[in-house]
Amino acid sequence: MDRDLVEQARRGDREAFAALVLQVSDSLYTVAHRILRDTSLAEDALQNALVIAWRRLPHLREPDRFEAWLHRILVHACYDESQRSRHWTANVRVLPVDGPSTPDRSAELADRDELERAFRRLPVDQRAVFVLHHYVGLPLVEIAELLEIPAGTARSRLHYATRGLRAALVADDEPTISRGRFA
Amino acid sequence: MTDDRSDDRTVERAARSWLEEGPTRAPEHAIRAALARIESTPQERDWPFPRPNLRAPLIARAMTGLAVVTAILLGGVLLAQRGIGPGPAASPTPSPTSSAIPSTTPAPSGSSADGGPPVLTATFVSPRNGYSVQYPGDWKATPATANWEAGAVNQWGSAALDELRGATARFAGTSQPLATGQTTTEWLAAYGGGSCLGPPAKWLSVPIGTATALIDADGCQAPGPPLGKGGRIFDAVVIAGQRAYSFTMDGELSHADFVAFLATVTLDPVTAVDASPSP
Repeated sequence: MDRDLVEQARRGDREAFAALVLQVSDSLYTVAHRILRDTSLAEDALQNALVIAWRRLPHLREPDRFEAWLHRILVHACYDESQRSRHWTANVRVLPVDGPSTPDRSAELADRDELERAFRRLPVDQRAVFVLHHYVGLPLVEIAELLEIPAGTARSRLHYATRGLRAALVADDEPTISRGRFA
Repeated sequence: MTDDRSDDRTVERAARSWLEEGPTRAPEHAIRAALARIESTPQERDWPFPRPNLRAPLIARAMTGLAVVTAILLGGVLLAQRGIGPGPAASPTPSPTSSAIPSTTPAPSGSSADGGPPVLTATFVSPRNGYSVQYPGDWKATPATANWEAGAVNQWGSAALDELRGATARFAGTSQPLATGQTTTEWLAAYGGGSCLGPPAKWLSVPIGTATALIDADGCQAPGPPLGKGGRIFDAVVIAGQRAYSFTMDGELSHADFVAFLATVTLDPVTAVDASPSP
């Protein structure tokens, strides 16, 4: 991340901020999409996060922490979008099936569908920690720092998310969780 | 115990692989819409007061805190006196209209809950309500033929609404003069909106030109039969030149789409056919 751009944007330079947006928006959007599992909600979360970031940028004390700061804002925007989405009916996801599939392929699709449904049932704060850890690759200590929560809280959210996924998978389809299926 | 850990690792591996699927690029229209919003969004000023020095004596920190609270309260009072939007707030009680508009229908292209950005190539100039807005060229425009009377609640199809209709989304705009002596706050309270965001204090602000509009419904489920797959409804109000405007959209669209439409609105209250305030 270009520290000079952050400094310029912090002083109100919109072009500098637009350049930063182009650098970070893919990363922010992919994270939002993984957490929210919905294109429209992820777009709204991205936009709201960017607007909030622009507004609050003068308060950023450590320009080197811009990206982490931005991800914190994004995660909170995801929390807000998730609340809003409760007013909506469940988003039915149709898995792509191109022609006849082998038994293994069908099982794989079924597992992914189960993962999708199980993940959507998790509280959004657990989803966020799970995505930041397993998709972004952040260690729990960094996640805790990023979200400004105790490390123990981050650890327990990850634990409960994993446990929730495992339990849901077992409950949804006992045979597909038998050991070695994913190996 | 070992089995649990083994199962966890199995689940984690599967989940990591599953998380890798999905989009890896932010949609261009979402970025453009964000930048458009930023273009008219002011930055907050940096905290004008010194940060608390934890080494300072308690009494000194308390005095600093008191100064901060006083400044915030004074600022709040000033803002409350100014009201929202441009222009003075004016008149007595209202009559709003609304947004709890039952939906039906359908419409169009141009919007994008899961597709591209709305392409707003045509301009609709309201012959009656004192504003213009850009919209997709393949939408059908039906101008209002009646005034939005104080206290009236408009439904889709109302003669007081300018309606722009596509295949999966639609837009409605209308306006009315504030009553003599009516303040912006009074008008908003009477309007109420079809809000799923609670009272006006919780509505979201978004710029329309130099005015500030308030979004009172931001993607809540549209009442009545849904328009398109999403059936989301959005509603915003703005006061300009003693005139209150209401803009509503429903169907397959996102917050970003709604804001993109609003960003093209130009308010021109003096051209409204009932531009003089009602008694």
